[in-house]
Amino acid sequence: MSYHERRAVAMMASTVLIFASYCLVLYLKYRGGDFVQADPLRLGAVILLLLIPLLIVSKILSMILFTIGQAIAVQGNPEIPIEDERDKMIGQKSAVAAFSIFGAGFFLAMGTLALAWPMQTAFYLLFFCIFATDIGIQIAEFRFYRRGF
Amino acid sequence: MGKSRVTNNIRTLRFHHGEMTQEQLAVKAGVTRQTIIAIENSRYSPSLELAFRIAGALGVKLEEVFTYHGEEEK
Repeated sequence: MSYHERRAVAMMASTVLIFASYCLVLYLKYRGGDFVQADPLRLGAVILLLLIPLLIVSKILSMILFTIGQAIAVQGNPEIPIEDERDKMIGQKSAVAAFSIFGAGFFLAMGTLALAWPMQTAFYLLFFCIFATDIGIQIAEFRFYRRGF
Repeated sequence: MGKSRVTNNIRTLRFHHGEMTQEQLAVKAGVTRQTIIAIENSRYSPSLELAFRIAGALGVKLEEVFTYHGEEEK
């Protein structure tokens, strides 16, 4: 596995861990059905707004941890991760895949609102769509690196 | 992603250039070894700039390295 493939796998694992932890915290906090009883619009917005900085900070920390782990693992044979034009192209193609996933999720979420489904359904969908986007970009990157481009 | 319509002689030229390794060519061209592998296997078509850098690293003209199989073959 190349450096970029290992990085994609590490970031995928961190995404799953972050979302699982966040879901667990939310479940423990609102398991009594408080989500429905409280103002679901406000609560949903707070949950999604908190998720964004949490994801940014945890991604930075994951990247630092991965770099440290990588440096320890390849001691004596350091692999210098330079970024060339193929890496940039792969990044762009992965971003397109991620935008498509997010777009589809957002469309579905708006669809539920248009069909007058409960408000929390749209938030669940948006939440899941952020998770799927984050995982999707890593899967796409891994796949592109695996097959060469 | 299918094979590119741009083929190349990088493997042969590396052999004729003192059996240059992919790693050595990658360093000379300023890219990763994985990129050289992808280009050699016609998985990735390099930019014009990188194509010139590879040709320069191999000490030959661009057209000796890359060949385009486009409209003329139809």
